[in-house]
Amino acid sequence: MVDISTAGVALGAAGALAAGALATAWAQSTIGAAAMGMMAEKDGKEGQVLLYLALPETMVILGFVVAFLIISSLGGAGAK
Amino acid sequence: MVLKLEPMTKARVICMQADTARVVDALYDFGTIHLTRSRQGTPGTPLQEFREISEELIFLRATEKALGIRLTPEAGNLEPRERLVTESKKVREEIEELKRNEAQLAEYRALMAQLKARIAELKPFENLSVRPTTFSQAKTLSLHYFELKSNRKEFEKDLAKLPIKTLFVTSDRPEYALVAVGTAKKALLLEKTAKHAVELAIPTLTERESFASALAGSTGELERVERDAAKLAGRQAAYSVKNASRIARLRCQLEEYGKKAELPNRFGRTQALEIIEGWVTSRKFKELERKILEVTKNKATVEAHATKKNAPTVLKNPPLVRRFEFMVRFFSLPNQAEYDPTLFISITFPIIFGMIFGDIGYGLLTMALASFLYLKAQKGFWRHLAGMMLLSGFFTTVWGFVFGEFMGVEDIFGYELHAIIHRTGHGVPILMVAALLVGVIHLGFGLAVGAYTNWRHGHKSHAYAKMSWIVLEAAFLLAGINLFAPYIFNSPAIIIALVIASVVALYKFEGVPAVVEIPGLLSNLLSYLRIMALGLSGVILAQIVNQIPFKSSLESIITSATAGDLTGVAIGILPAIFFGVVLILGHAVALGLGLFEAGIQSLRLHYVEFFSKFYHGGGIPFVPLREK
Repeated sequence: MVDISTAGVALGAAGALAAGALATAWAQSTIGAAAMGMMAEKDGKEGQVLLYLALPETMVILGFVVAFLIISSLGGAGAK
Repeated sequence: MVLKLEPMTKARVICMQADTARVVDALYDFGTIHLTRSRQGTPGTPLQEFREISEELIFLRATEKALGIRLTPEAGNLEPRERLVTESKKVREEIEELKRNEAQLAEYRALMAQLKARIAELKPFENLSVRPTTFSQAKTLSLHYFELKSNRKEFEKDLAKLPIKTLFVTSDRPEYALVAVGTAKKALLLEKTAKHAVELAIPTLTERESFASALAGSTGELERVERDAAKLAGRQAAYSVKNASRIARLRCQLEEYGKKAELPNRFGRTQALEIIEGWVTSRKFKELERKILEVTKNKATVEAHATKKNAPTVLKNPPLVRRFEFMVRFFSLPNQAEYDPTLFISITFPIIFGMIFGDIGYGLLTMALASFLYLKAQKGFWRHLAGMMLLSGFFTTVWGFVFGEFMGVEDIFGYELHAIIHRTGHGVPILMVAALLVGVIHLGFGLAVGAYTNWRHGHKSHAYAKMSWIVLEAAFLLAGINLFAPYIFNSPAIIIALVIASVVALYKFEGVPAVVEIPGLLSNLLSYLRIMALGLSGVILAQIVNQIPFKSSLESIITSATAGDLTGVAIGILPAIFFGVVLILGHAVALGLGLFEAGIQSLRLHYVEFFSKFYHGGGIPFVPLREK
């Protein structure tokens, strides 16, 4: 059985990662839609579009870092 | 020096209008000049031949589109314009001939459709021995030829049920039947047999024709028309194949003449003079001057203007660094007041790329892929990309040794690798610190370049502000060390002093906006944690792929073979092949994702974090009149 504190740590880490991932997904959907519009108007912008799409990934990376810090500092599987 | 841009000179040529065509030829021959629109005098007009060239170009482009020609040959050495125009007119005549052929082809197609319909009409009567005239000449009897819908017996029953006498004649083909009936009973016959048969219309023939001879005649005619149509269509198709490169070359060469002829649009003119303005690299100015004076027999002036305002940017890098120029162009070219960051990016990009991807196996595969691409691509973007990948693959391999990883495992075919930093488990915090350290160095270097650039241009307050950012960054670094490794550095007072000093300096030199931006520096630093995060996700992906039971399925085959169990070997082969294919595909996906992510994310660290510390871009691309 998993005790309640371990479950809490796991949930906290999952929440941090999920929030970052959702925020990234939302930002990328908006950027993606605008990027499609830009590409329809102007050729040769595919490379820049890729870069703009990669920008919001910082949020999920920071979410991952926070999740990692929660697990490593509060105990649980990640600290082992 | 590789960091500096190629020095540019603004050239102004003033010549007689009578010499315009010769000067245009000289400029075109010179090639490496970036012409600007002259604001002197009234706007110029194209050369006289422009109209004729345009007409031929419109025709050639339309022809290419109609024939599906998609060749883009290089213009090369230009043939005389008159010869090209004559050749284009000849193509025009040939196309007219093709159009006539097209009309003929349409007639053939219509005729073929008619003949096919006639053959379809005659085919059921092919084996009927009754002469066609019998149908029209019979007076008391009415003859009817039926195509049977179903069973012949059903049709015969229908006939038997009729209260009239019928003369039933079977033909050679069981699906048809000829029936004779008294003329008065014709309607009754048709009504009662409608369920199981359809009466066929009798084809119109001449008196001397039989059904068989008419059919043979139509079939022969169709074969002849089909042969002629195929010959004509073949000629049409062969024309595109045979003349594709000729038409594309004509178009390409005339386009060059078109460009030359419309050059004077960018000139300015007075009543007798033509004024031409443009940018050349300073070391080529003398060559331009010599060429212009030569063609105008010294009846022109070529002036050099010492200005950098609106000068286009020409990068000047050795071949090894040049392959990274596309990354700078992709962001924005440096303006005349800036250093060219290509050298920096050529050093730091492969290192950061390697740190993210870090794996001996993937590194070697990247180098192999890059070598293949390098050999295939003769020039341009792909060749530069291959060169960049080769260097990045090398650093991926080097970092692979640091992390002790080969395709996600910690040994190379049994030889154990000794990792300096383990990317999974206990090594993660170390990698986190290493990533932040890379960020500190990278950003610090960017800030130092920014400080130097501002100092050089006399913007001393901005230079001091950049130095203050470096001090603040050092304070962040010391705070990190104090927090995680107090045995190395443990002096909060120094840290607080550094923070206060740098914040006060920032406020003094750049005001409140700089103070507001302080959390931005922290965010920039934390952004480098992606090196660790992406690296970790890459390893985990490779480890998941490695869990595919290929090795165990191979071992089971070997065990069976050793025990002489041929059935076991036979049973084990298929899963082994399947797992082998899945393993290769899995690693291919991991390699593709790794290349993409490491490339995009390290590029982002340069564009967003590193460049924001010293680089603005906005340089004007140098567009030479002709690529040599």
